[in-house]
Amino acid sequence: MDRFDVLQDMNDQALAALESSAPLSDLVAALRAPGRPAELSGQAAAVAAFTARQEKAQHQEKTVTMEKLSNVRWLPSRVGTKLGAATAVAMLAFTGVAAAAVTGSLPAPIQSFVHAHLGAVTSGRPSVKTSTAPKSHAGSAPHAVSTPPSAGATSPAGAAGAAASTAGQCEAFMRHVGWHGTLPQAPVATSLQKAAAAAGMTVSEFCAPYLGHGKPTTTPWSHGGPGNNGGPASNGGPGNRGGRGNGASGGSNGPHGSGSTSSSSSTSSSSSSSSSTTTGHGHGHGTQSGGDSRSGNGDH
Amino acid sequence: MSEGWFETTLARAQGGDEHAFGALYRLVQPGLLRYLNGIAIGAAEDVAADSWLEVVRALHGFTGDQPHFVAWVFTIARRKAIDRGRYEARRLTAPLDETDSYGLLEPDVADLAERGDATAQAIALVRSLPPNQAEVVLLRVVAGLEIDQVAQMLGKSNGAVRVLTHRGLRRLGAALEPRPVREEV
Repeated sequence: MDRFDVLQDMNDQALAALESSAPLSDLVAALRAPGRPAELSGQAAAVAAFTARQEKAQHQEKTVTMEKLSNVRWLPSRVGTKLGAATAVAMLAFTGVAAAAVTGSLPAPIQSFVHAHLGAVTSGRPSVKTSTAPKSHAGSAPHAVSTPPSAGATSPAGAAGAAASTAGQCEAFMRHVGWHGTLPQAPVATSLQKAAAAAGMTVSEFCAPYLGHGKPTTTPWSHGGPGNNGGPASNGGPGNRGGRGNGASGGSNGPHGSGSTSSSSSTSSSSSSSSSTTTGHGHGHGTQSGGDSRSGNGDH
Repeated sequence: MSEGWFETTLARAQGGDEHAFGALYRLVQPGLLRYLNGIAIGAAEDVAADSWLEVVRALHGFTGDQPHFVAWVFTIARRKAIDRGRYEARRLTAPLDETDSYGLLEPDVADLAERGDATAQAIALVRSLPPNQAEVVLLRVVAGLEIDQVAQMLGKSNGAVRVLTHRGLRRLGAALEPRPVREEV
């Protein structure tokens, strides 16, 4: 057979014809014979491997599904935890700022801002303004009789914002004195004292129009002794605690132990007396109605 | 087999039906084992088992008709056989007897003929061909693959596969033709 004949026989039909030729037909038939049982002996093992593979795939699918579900379950929990933590931090920060504002510990601009926006709101609370109990004793408490300044004379420029700021400062000042028994050291307090001194008044007198809406109020450090019925006490608190009364600095010139009354005090002595017997020493134990009277401990 | 039988069976097997998978096994396994017996002497069953494990792992991703499925399984088996041959080549072996290297322990065609095992006899005869011719003939005849499929599997051109097939069949035909008996004078 030459090369041409070989190439002619290379097509598929020629190959098929060759396979079916007489010598090779039996060979091809034997090679293509149906499978014998011996050749299929591995079927059980192969099917077992197939079944195991399917079960494994199903198990993995279930595992993946459960992992997805667990991730979905964890998602709200994580978000809730973060929100809770953020809320806690925000509350702590807010309360801290609020406490600092109340005590007058904030820097002057921030303190003014806080009192301008929050102090005006809290000034309407009677329990905050004047309910702080005095810590000084009746016998040694300095009481000054003063005349409250007019709002127009004391409020800077008569602007509403400035008045609100001053009211907040006054409230913070008195609250600090009432709670701690000492003068606040904040710059705002110093400026307030200076403003009161410039006006020839004590701080309490200076602040009375702001805290009482034009009406005089008692200062938290004054005593509601038997003799000070119906009148706001002067700023004698610090003086009766450490001997550093603000009679000089705050303009309080009243004799110690004398009750102080304001020009606008109108409450009866009976009510003041009754309240003085029920109030105690400490924060917020003193009672006052309308800012007209003040009672302290040791008065009964 | 009816038309569409393979597609249906494949879909069921891919869905997890073990009976369908058994049908696919019976479809391919006899030819696969014969092919491996022709190229991997002594390790055909092990290589076939490894091949089916690979088929099980990758069956869900297969797409194609029956010829493609057969070609896919045979391709897997061929790679397994090559890996097996490389592994065996790296092993340090010492033949028990020099006669083993001559293949005298392999089944003899005459013995197979006497036992009536025509298939085994035919495989033994194909194995007597050069390896490349034997593999091409087995893939063409046993697996029933087309020329282009065989060429793609072996990495050869279609023409080369045709030449190898032709030569192999010619040689098998010559071996099967009865030799003329010379009359002794």
